[in-house]
Order: sequence, then structure tokens, then C-alpha cells
Amino acid sequence: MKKIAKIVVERPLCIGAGTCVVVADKVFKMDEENIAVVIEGHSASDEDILAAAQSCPTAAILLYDEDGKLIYPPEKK
Amino acid sequence: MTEVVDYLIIGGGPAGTTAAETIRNEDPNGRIVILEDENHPMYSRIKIPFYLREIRTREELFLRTFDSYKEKNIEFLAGKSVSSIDTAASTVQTADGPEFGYKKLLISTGGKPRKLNKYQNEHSMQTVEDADKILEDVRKAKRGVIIGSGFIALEFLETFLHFALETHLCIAKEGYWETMLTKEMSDVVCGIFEKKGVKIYFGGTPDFINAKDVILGTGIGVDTSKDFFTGAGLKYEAGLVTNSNLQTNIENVYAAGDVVKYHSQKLDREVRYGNWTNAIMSGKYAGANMAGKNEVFDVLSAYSITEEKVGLSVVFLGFSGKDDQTQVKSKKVLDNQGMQFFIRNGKLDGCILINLPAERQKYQTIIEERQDFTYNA
Repeated sequence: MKKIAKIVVERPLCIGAGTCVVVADKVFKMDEENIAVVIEGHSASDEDILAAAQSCPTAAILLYDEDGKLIYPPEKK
Repeated sequence: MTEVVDYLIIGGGPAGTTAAETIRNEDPNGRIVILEDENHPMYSRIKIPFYLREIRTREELFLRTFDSYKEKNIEFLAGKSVSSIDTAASTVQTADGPEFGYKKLLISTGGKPRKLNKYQNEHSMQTVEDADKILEDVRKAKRGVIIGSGFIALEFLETFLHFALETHLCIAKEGYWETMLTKEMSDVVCGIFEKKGVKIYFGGTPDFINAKDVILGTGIGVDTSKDFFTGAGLKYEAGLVTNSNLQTNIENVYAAGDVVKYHSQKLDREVRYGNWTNAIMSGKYAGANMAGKNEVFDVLSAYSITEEKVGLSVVFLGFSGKDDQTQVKSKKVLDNQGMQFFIRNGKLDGCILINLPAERQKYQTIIEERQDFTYNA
């Protein structure tokens, strides 16, 4: 897997389940509207970030590599 | 001849799949087999409402592909339901014949929605196929009737309002989410529904329920799929009982997901949760322990749901039930906002926040840190 360069939370898809926060509390937190947001300056491993994205029930967390290519969720063929 | 596998997992949903992936991280070579009775790889039931509202495609419901299991050397056998377990012989019998032996077994079969089986137009909302049927019928309907209260009833409400149906909700006389909410909080929730034009029936149903232009959604709870392990010697008390390591009373048998009733050390009580986060996290811990770790599962259950059309966001933290040991207090903040507390021995064991998402962190900390808690009306 290529290195994760960018994390995006699709706010309309986030239902505030908070699974990502439980899986990777150094990367994600819930904001005042109960939507997951990325903690600035986090220093988590790519493995933890991927695990959090994969645990999201609505696949609201998008991960991109340095070339801007989507790593997760995998693009549907 | 019976095949013996290192790790046998019954149920390939979020708990079973997470357990398998965790085992693979811990044990690169052990043989892992998942028996899944549906014909799909892991998908998100929670995403079904997005599919129904046409925000996401059917394909996007799936969070894993058959190939993604193969890549991790996990054998995912779809369409394989289990008929019985013999814990003395460490074997599992599948309904279509083959028997599997196991060294470690995980039961992560979740629950099946209860059905009324009384009305022709009844719909559940659990599987991809349920969603397909809803989508087919909701477009033809003019009126939507919902029986039940809880997460699924909320999803039906959101869906029917999205399709601009005249919407009718049938709940218990005692109110919405009557097993958890006080009457005061139920009134807050019902007030939110009524503001959206939903007609509520307390303890009854509309007389047109069988009409041709009606789609009926039921959300009357789930039953644990337990027939296949009845008689296997596993302790079951409204949930498959495990210790804090998610190990059942039989040494090499573990459980994860909605089916588990475990001892929370943090809250010092037996708890059972039916939500996504619990499924993922219990799967992770059960998998690690099956692969030889010794980790206590005590992740505070935190879950929430936001329904835009309904105008409702609900956060559940920790324990939320009514029992003899627990003092239940609620507070209406505004017409559409309220909070409810579950207090025991001067500590907060859980709370429910209605349209107060910003309070989540505060109460989560109070519960997790076991701070003293006094209710102030």
C-alpha cells in the first residue's frame, strides 16, 4: 500500500457512530456536531489510519496517497 | 473426513470479519475459515438507508470483497449456515453437509429481526435483499406505516419522509424506545416526529394498514440466532455469556458482536450492546485472544445516529437500560432536546443525548473516568 497523504471525512455520510475514534483516538475526534474530524498534527501509523477507515460503518473516511489517488475505500470496478 | 481448522468463525459480519483480520495479523499461518449464511461478503447494514435514499449505490454497501478475504488468506464460505455445534468433539455441522473441526471457535452470528408475519406488505430492514424489496415498493407507495420503535423504526421514518410518504408510526402505549427512555424523553422524541407530520399511534395501528398504497416497515427488535448452539453447553442468559476476554464458559469457544453478554470491568456489571462499534471492537479483541493474547475487552459502548429528515440525533453512551439497580433520570432541555442518565452507586453508567451532540465528550469522560455523579434536575 502507498503511504497515506490525505484523510477526508465525508461529513454528509458520517452518522457519528464514533467507531473511528475508538479504533484510532490519536487520529480522529468528534466535533460539536458529533461528526468525526481529523486531529491536526497527528502522528499515527498508516496501519492505524487504515484500520479506522475500514471500521467506519458508512465508509465516510477516504484515504488518498501522495499522488491524490484513492487508497480506501477501493474504487468499485 | 472432518476438516480441522485452527480458527473457525461462524458469522462473517463486522465482528466475525474483524476477528478474522485480527487473527491474521497475529498469526500469519493459521488456517481461518468463516462460515457466513448470507451470500455476500461483509457489508454495512448501517449504510442501507443511504442506498434507499439513493445517496449510495447497492455496490457501495459492501465493505469487503471476496477477493479481500483471499488476499489475507481467509477462507470465506458464503451461503453456509450452521445447524449445530458439538463442543465436546469441537466440531460444527453445516446445514448442507460438511462438518468442520476447530481448535478455536468464534460465534459472531448477531441477530435476526423479529417479524410479525401478519401483513403481506411487511418489510424488515436488515439485509441487502430487504433493501432491494423496500426500494421496489416504496416508490409505488403513497403511505408508509411503521410498527416498532428503535433504530430500524427510525431508519424507516427517515426513508418514508425522504420519499415524501404520508407517514404513520405505531409504538407501544408506554412510548418510543420504551425499554430505555423515560416518558419525558419519549415525549420529546415523539414531538420531533409529529413536527415532521408523522402521525403516532400509541398501542394501535391504522385501519388502512393493508391498503394497496401502503408500505409497512417493522422494527420490533432482533432475536439472537441461538438454535444452532442450543444443547452445546454454552451459557446463555439473554446473550451468550463470556468473561471479560470474550471467552465463553467453554475454553476454546469465544463470542463477539451483538450476541455477547460480557462483564464490563469498568462498569462492574454484565452488559450487552447491539451496535456497530461494539461489533467491530469485540471482534478485534476476541480475535486477538483467540490468537493467544490475553486482552480484557472493556471499550465503553458509544454509538449515535443522525436522521436529517426526521431532525433527530441520538447519542448512546455506556449502559442504557431499566433495571432494579439503576436510577433513571431525564431532563428535557428544549422541546426537541433532552438527556437521560443511568446512575448506579453514585456513578454514571450511561446516558442518552437527544439532539445534544456537543455534550457527548463531557459525559463520555464522566462515565469512563468513573467520576462521582449527582443528578441535578
